[in-house]
Amino acid sequence: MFPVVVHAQQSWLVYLKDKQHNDFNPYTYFDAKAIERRIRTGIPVDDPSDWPVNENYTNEIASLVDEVFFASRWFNAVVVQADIHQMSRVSRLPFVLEIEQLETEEVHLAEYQEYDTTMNPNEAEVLKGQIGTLGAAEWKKAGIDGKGLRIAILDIGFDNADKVPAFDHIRAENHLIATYDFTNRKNGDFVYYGSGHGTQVWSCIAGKIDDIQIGLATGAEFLLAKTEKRSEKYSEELNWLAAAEWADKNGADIINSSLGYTGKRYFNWQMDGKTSFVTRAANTAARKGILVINAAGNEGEDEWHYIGAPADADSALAVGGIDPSTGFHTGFSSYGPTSDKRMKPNVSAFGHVIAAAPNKLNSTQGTSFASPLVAGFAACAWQTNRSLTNMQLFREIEKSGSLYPYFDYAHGFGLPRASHFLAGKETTPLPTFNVTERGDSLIIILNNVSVAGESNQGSANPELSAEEVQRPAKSAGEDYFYYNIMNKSGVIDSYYVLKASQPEVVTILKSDFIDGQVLNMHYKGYSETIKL
Amino acid sequence: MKKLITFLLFAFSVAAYSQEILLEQNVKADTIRPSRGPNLKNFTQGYLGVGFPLFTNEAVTYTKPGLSTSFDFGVRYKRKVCSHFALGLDFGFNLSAYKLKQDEWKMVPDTILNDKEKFQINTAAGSAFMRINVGRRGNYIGNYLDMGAYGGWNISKKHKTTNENAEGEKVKVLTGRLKYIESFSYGLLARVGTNRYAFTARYRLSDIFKSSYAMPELPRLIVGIEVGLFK
Repeated sequence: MFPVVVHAQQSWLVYLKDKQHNDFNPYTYFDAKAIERRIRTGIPVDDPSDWPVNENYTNEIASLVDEVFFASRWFNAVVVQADIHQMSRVSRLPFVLEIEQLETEEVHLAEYQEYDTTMNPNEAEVLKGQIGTLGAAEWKKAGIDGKGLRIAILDIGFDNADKVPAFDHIRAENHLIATYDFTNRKNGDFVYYGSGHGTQVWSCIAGKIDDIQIGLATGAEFLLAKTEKRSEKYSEELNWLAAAEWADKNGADIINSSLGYTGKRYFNWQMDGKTSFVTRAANTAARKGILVINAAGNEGEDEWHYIGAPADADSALAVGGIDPSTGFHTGFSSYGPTSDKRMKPNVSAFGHVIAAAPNKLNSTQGTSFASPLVAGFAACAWQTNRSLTNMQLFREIEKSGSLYPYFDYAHGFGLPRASHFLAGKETTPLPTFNVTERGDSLIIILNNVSVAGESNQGSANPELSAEEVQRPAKSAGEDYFYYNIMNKSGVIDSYYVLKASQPEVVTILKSDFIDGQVLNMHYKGYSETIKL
Repeated sequence: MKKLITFLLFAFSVAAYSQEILLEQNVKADTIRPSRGPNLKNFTQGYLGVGFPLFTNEAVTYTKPGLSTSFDFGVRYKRKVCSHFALGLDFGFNLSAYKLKQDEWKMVPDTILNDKEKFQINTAAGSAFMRINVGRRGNYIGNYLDMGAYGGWNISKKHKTTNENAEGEKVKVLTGRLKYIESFSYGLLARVGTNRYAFTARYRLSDIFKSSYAMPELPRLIVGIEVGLFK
């Protein structure tokens, strides 16, 4: 159980054998919204996994170790700092089930890079597109703004978020419910220091300046949790768990986590949805009825290449990044699938955005910002139908994707569409291509070829009006031809995106494929599957 | 993977009618779990190091501290046994220059005083080591302690003096294939590192000078730093 060489103080997770109900009253322990979520989604209100950790056990452990960081009711465990000799004594306690040593690596952020802050016409177009492609105009017309939904943001810090005007409307309506700094275990203003990353993330969910929206869920309520420090040595995944439990207790419906953990502590093949600590925490949060939305990661151009944890969790909606100028996958956005071959990312949104930084609106990029755009979308979608459970909503968001039912491991199901959630908006797509058999060949012929790849960039005025921002945006990727080859296990072997400039777009030799493989295609909203 | 052909139609010009592949990913090719990497079963890397001989009781009297140097370069192979333990081999070259103090205590190789004087000993050496890693990690080398032993053949054994003659000319005398220097050397080594960087220490157990010449030894302990050369 103990590693070979450990002499210094370490962090440990001490799993306990049992809990006692005692006088636990969920109605006084939880925020009313947490109770409401449990009832609405059919989750037991008085569930053993919600009972607090036995205080006697915690006290007894505390007497043997240097420090008890926190007690996890979900994992029925206590996180402590101690040396190996102290842990040896802890391990002999009769109520200790198992001890897990926690790691001491540095934090990895799903942050990419900040741009210059000047708003040029292209950046104004990006601001318009980042919510326009997610149906800002339709949500606005339907009067949907995430009202009634409570969103927890787990991030590295929210510099100046208590002053940034992009959140004036939230403060004015008392929609900022609570904040907590898990890195110092303190309530209050401590979250407003450390990094502007969380400030920008929050703005991509609900920011609004002078009636110009940055995110979609301007009417939602918020919980802000600081879970990381830039030089944090070991506790960021633990803080994630503690923050998720705190979010649950305080009635969060959605968690946005623009954080990820990859190569410094894990191997690619451990991205299997069950190995990493934070992934298990994310899945547990989902089991409590919370929709967990996580950035896919920014390792698409790195050796790591794949999504990180907890985006690999089967119950976490992983969000990949789209390049607004091309309309398809942006290079840095991490690829799926998970190591056990599940589709990731689930959906995509702009990975290049305009966000409210601590001091000004600026241009920035990373799946860190695609994730909150979708979190804002999810709040709006959930507002349309509060009877959906979190996982039902998860599936509906996938179904709303611009590529659905087609998917690949760069885009998932594509950009979520508001029309899926707004009655009377969806239409059955007509075929946009034909597949002709000629000898051993399958020839795919497009019906209406337009010059693809033309982005929606133009000579926009950087000082956009609210109306301009709200207008429906055309995705540059709509004209691309997508196809993949899937094996009989349902796993994609290879996938492609083509810029179609002629009717005969692809010819495939059937004899080159093995039985059971299928060809999936998508063009201009229409998808088709053919057995090879 | 199986062949998949994207046809290019050439009606007027290639540029006007060819299809452009914007994104292509072959997932099948990525399913093979690699066995080579910093924290995988096999790992090979290059290294560059520089060290400085530290005093010994004998040598303190005649080597110039700080000016004498020992450069290392070579290739290292590591085989992972488990997350916390690995075994490895090095093969490389060591270029050591021992610059000698010119004072009344000088005894090596003689008592004659020169303007400058040094031994240059180049060695082709191999070593074996065991590595203890601390902490679970991904495909990174991580924090480690190496302990091992080395042995090598002194392929170049030179003595060099530099003096200025009465005419102000610089006279350099280089003597090679020195008979009083041993042909082989061996000793112990240790490294404490984190990922690409390490502090190194090497302690020579063998003598440099043949015992029949009864000369006091050059410094045995060399400490320095090392940079790993890998992607």
